[in-house]
Amino acid sequence: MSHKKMGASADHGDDSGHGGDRPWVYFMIDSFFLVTQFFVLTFKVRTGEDLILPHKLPPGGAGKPTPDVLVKETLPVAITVNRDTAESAPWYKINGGSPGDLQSLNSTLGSLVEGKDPSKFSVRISYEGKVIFKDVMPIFNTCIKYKISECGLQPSRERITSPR
Amino acid sequence: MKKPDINNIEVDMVPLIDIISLLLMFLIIVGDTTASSNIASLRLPTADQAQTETTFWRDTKDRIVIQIKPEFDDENVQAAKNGKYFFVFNAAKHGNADEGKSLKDHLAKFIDDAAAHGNGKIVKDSKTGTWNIPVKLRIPESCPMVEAEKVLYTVASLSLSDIQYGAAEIRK
Repeated sequence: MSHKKMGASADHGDDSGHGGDRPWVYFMIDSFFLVTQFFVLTFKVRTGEDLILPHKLPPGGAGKPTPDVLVKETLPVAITVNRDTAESAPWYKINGGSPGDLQSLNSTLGSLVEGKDPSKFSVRISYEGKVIFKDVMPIFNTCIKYKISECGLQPSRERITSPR
Repeated sequence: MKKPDINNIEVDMVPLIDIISLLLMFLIIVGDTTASSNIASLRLPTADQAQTETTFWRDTKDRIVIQIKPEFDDENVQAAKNGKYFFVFNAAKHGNADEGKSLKDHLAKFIDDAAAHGNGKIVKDSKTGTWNIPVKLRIPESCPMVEAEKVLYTVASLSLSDIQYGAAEIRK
């Protein structure tokens, strides 16, 4: 007697295959494909998380701080930032001094803070109409570098004159 | 005549299912969920002192995230057409024509809800009178300061002083 091997399917008989005696397999595969298609259609590569630069707004706004917070000794620093034209580089002035670039701002602020408690400093930034956020962010960055945590904005002339 | 042999052709589904499983796992692990798709793609300013959120170890659970989104994605088109800027908070767009009033109302409601359901975690500081809710501001670098100050004044008027400015990595 010779036994012919009919292949792997020989043992399964006439109802061979995955769905033959197990029809639920097709439904399982359909569901699997549907789930996969959902993820294919909603696929979006994960964007890198933002970096953050932390700051505290100086007191005196609507927070109604207690008197001992308001009268604590602070060393105010007024920084003005402006651009001559929309295309020109921004310039910075500290406490009404001469205008300079970002590097001079860093060195001037560094010499102001040297030897003193940086937590006593309170920086206020004022700006004119053409200034964009990219010009102001380096000031926040420099304040963090010298551990000055309080840094706020002076309202622009446009904000003061426009109706609220 | 001899009947021709009928060969039953069977498709083995197992390798197909393996490949689909691998594809599905790739999509789940690499992909971003739709829940975070309301984060606008903005060109944020760079700051070398900025840190990653995980390094900073701040509790971001009740954090407020406000984005300033330009009307046009292209900076040149935005400047040429004098495009508007919108304040986006919790996927809701607020126009800036009302000086941030509608954003203020939305934020005030959020703060009230957070304080009511925060199990005592959301409180006002007794000395400064400000809420202990951090606010992350995603402001594009080309945003005029007159627009950015509207958001800051709105936030300050609601006694929020803990600000986190979103920054991008230094571009090489």
